[in-house]
Amino acid sequence: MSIYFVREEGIPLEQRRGLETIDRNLVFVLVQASVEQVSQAFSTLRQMNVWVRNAYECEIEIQNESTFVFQLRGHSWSLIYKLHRSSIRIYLTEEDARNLSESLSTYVIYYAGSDTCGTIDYHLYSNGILQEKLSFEEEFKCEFQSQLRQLEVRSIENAYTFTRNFIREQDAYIPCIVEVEELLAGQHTTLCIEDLMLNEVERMDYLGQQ
Amino acid sequence: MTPFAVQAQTCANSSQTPLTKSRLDQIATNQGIPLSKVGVKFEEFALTTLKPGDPIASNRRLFPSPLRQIKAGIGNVQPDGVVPLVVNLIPFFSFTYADSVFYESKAVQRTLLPPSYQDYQILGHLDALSRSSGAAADENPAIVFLTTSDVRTISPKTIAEASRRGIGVWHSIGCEIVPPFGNLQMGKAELLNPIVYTIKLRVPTDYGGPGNPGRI
Repeated sequence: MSIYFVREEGIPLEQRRGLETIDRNLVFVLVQASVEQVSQAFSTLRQMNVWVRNAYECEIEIQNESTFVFQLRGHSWSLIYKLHRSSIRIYLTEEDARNLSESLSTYVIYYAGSDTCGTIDYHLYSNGILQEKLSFEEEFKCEFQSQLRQLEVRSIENAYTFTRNFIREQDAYIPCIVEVEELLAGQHTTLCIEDLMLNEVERMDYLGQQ
Repeated sequence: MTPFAVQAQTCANSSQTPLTKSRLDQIATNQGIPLSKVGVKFEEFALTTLKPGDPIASNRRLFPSPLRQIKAGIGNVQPDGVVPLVVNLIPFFSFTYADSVFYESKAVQRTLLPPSYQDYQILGHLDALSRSSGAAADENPAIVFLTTSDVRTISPKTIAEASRRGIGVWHSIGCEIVPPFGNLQMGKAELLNPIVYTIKLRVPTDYGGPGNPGRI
């Protein structure tokens, strides 16, 4: 599968926290719940009618709206990642994060970092209620609101460092996934992210639409 | 041309309109693409269409940058595309230097991409290129910026830093072909610091564009 898990050498994956990189375009939803719960809730929310449990390193048929729901070993958050180099009309949004947070009564982070656009955004929800939000566009805007702490936006000197610290403080990790080639619906392949070992994955489910 | 003179932005032909970031956002929205995905869509479009018949693959490797480590605590950079530098000596004879040309796409507004941009990412690119096999062979590595037209030119600081290291700085902008609405084409990559080549009596290589027309 032409999808790569890119990381700096050194710290073992299970101990990594924060942002792996700010040099890519990445969108993730992180949910403080099990992969089973997240897959169930996201399937319901987005009408995913294909759900392959424990799919990592297993043969799957690529569907429309390919979505990975996975948890890394040693990490407490489950991550939702939608493949963008395949047939998709549904994109991960902050509204997905809010809905999942509400339906699962848990914490959910929406993260969108764009190296191409010079932007970084995160939203933290708890039980469907926005707790904290940062929206940054380099040399253009920085907006911040929080129910968790008293902080003026002008005190944020570096939005990248600020976001990195925030993600780390949540004991969360935003990995770097690079898609090199398009996956076509109907294609049979082994679900595998290059450079991500089976023993580093607690569980990965595959969701799609037929 | 003076060493740091600015080339005019170039579309493939005069009927095209330089593509601004706000127009790109508008096109994306019309195509059902959310703003969070505009970046990746523009990057893919730029890399795959810039060189007709020879798409640039998404880079999946990290390149060490001790300078970025010092400036921002980030010890590497990830250019969007990485290709070898090919130096043609005489017809049918060339030298190839791995990982010595970086492509970096930016769909941004109100910036000229100074070295400090994105936690010193741009400086990191120049630092990594100055450690490339092309630089080691005293050839000219290159960085090619693929941008929206809001980036009127590349920051003089970035150009000066690149020139000091013998790195060519190239710039291609996105353009809109109208009608039909939403069809785009990358313009020719223009050289911004010819001095790095002329000082060594070299002929600059062509780094792509005009690209294939297409949609994000």
